[in-house]
Amino acid sequence: MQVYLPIAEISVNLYLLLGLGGIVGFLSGMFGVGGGFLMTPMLMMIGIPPAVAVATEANQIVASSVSGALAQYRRGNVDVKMGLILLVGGIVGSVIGVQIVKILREIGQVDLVIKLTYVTMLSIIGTMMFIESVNAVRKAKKAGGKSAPVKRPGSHNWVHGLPFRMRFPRSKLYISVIPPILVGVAVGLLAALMGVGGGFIMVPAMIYLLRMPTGVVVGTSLFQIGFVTILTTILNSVQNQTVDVMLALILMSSAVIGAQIGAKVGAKLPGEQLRVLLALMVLAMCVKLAWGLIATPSELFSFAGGH
Amino acid sequence: MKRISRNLVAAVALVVSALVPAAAQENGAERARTSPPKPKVVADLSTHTVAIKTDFAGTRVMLFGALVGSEEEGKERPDLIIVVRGPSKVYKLHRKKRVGPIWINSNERIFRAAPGYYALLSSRILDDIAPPEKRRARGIGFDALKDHLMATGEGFRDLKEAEEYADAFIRLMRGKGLYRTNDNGVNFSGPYLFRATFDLPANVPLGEYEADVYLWRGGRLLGKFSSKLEIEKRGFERFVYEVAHKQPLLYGIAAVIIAIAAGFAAAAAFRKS
Repeated sequence: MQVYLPIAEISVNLYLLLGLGGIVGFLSGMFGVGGGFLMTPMLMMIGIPPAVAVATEANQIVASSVSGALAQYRRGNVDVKMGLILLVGGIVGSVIGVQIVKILREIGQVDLVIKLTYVTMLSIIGTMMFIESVNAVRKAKKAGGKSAPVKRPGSHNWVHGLPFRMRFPRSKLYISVIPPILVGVAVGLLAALMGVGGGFIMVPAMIYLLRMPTGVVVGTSLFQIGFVTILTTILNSVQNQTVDVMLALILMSSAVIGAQIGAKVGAKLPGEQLRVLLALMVLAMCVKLAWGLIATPSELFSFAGGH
Repeated sequence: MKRISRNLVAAVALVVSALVPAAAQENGAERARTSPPKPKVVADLSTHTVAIKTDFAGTRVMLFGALVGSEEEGKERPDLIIVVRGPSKVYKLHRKKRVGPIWINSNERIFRAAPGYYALLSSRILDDIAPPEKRRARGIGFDALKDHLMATGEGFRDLKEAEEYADAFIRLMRGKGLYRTNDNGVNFSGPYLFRATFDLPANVPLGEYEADVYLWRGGRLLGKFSSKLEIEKRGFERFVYEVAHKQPLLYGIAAVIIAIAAGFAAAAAFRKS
């Protein structure tokens, strides 16, 4: 059954979209990742205009992050003060990102920039994930099945030397607000340009850069992602009219089911091996996108994106 | 002296020009009485509005009609060429250029008024109906469309480039199924009745379409009949599209609320199970 997407202005097979939502939801549930960085390139591959794919995906992430953030908040796992500081940066990043998309649409380079950003980010994440997970598999074998202990980050680094320090009681930190704001800006930019929550950047940054206790990292990042994706959705709607609610609804409906199943399956399977698999998948997608940019096109002419 | 003669010439020309149409009209009326009427064509479309709804996956529209006054002895049946033309839009076209290892879009050129849809249907192979230059002169077919594209294009360095872009544009539109040709698209049933079908793909642009039926015989254009078709978004699709473009802030807030509600609904559903 074909379904006409009013903003993307194309007809797509409904079951293909549901399947896509389900698979990405399954993977995100299994690996505990947001899924935006898997979904957006897949949407582009099935012919959704990149600007619509990015804006719609940010809208979809609102669904999972807000309910997730609230659940974490009830358990007391959100550092609200840190979340707000990250959010200030996130708002700046999102506003700038949406403006960049608008300008790129006007000069006809939005597709290229979105794809290039994806190739860059996916290659970095994929490689890091691959190395990290392969090492984890090796260590797990050496340790006789026990999972590797998490390396405790040292208590001080260059971040602690910066000015404008502020106390974050929930995270037991007394640090400069500059690094969290910059992390927030980066995440906001990613949400607008890539249609991702940015958890894969924020979580490591919180642990290794800000030295936040791991207990509040996930909740606080969801808190910030929730608000940033809400803002990005509204800004994209106003500036670019690229949010397709129809597409978002279809993807959401199957993604939530996929995520629940994925979380149950993931709990029973060996995590390290699965992460190797995910890393390979990310790299494969990266190669596919990169090939599209490098390979000599059979048709040199193309329509400028947008309307 | 010179001025007078010029004035005289002008005066004579005026008188002549006033007389000639009257004479021609008289002549025409006389001919109408004696010779049979010129063949004409009347036609209609199976529908005048196409609504794009959720399950829209393209549609087929039929154009049907009849020839009137074509029953002259010894003369062959006239031929038909039908042109269905979508609304004119601005299209920007890029040519990919290699920059380092990657291909990027560059050299943007603009077609100011290109039809978003163009179907060329005929009852026979076009060249058998009328020579290409005649069709082109009448603005019928892809050669004429190309002329139009080149004339309304912007930013071309030279004619060669304009031609390359116009060719590419037509090729891309054909690839999308928005420009199409069918030599066998007009079918006669009997000597007078005919019908033609054309497909509108799912990505068909919205707006007002015009279907022109051209009547030819012996390589000469005898007449033309025009009909209109409207393609519009309906129902939920139209609503979504209009809110998105006319009330973008409201749309954005609604999109967020829907997403939050969906998130909580899903969380609640799975907590119970």
